[in-house]
Amino acid sequence: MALPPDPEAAELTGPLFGPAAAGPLDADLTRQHAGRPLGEPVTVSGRVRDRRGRPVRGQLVEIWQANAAGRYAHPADRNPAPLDPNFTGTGRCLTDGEGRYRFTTVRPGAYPVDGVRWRPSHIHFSLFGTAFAQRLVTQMYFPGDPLLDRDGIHHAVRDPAARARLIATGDPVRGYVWDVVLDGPCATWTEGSR
Amino acid sequence: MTTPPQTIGPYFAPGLPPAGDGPAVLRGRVLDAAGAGVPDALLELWPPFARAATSPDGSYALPVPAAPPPYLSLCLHARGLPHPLFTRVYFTRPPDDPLLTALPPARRATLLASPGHRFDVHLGGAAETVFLTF
Ligand SMILES: [Fe+2]
Repeated sequence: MALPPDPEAAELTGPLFGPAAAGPLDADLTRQHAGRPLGEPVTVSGRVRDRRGRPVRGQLVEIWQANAAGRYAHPADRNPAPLDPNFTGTGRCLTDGEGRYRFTTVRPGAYPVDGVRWRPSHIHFSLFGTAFAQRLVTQMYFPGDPLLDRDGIHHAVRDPAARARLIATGDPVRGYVWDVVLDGPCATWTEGSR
Repeated sequence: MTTPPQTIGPYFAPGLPPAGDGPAVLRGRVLDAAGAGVPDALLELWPPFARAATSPDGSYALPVPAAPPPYLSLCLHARGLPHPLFTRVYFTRPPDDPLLTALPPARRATLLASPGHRFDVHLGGAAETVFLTF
């Protein structure tokens, strides 16, 4: 059901977290403990824009991921792979004046979801736009990962071109680059989920 | 050319930005179509911003202002959902509100908080909450 335009709708504005939400060390997941984490150090950076191409400035980007062995430092993770005492796997930063973010981390390991299937290496991302309706939670993948072809969660995005936009470019030496384009809000809004 | 959403999964680490505070509390449960509680869902309210995860029985508690605006926007992320769901929690019923006016009474009722600041989210079933797409 289409609804009448409402320029006053709360969803057209959104929270602005400010510098207190992310300190300089929060974007480096390899320096959150006394020692260095196991695994391959990588950087992941990119730009956040809206669908008109405008940079999303000063907004919060959050990530969470498994360690190099494929284990989350989360009580719900039953994967027997070892925890790394030097890796928590959560980070956050604010985008700069051009909408850029940058994280230093280790490449997450693949992990089993049951006895048969494995999740490819991925980093969970949470992003805020200037409007609450632009809220995005998604997952970033690494180029060339053979597990991508059979991953049901990655393939939950049916459109191959859209699915490809979840895969970063680059390599461990130059760093991985992953740009994000936030959707919405539309001029019209509707009752009923997508 | 927008970036598609993916499920939040079970391992979101809350406690990321400050959870927000408020003198009053909104409480309720997130329920699936069969009426079972949905654990490890993440709820976010705006404005002001607040977030909380659900307990194993699907219950949540979110801080809200003592005198909230007529409604707060609620964004829900849960394991298995490919994208977030947006709804609204109405504390009062402004007679000229465009959304409430457009809804039939039974559907409208799913957006109204009860007097004790209780609000359940039904992801499906006969009492499914009204969800919005922007
Ligand atoms: Fe994951």
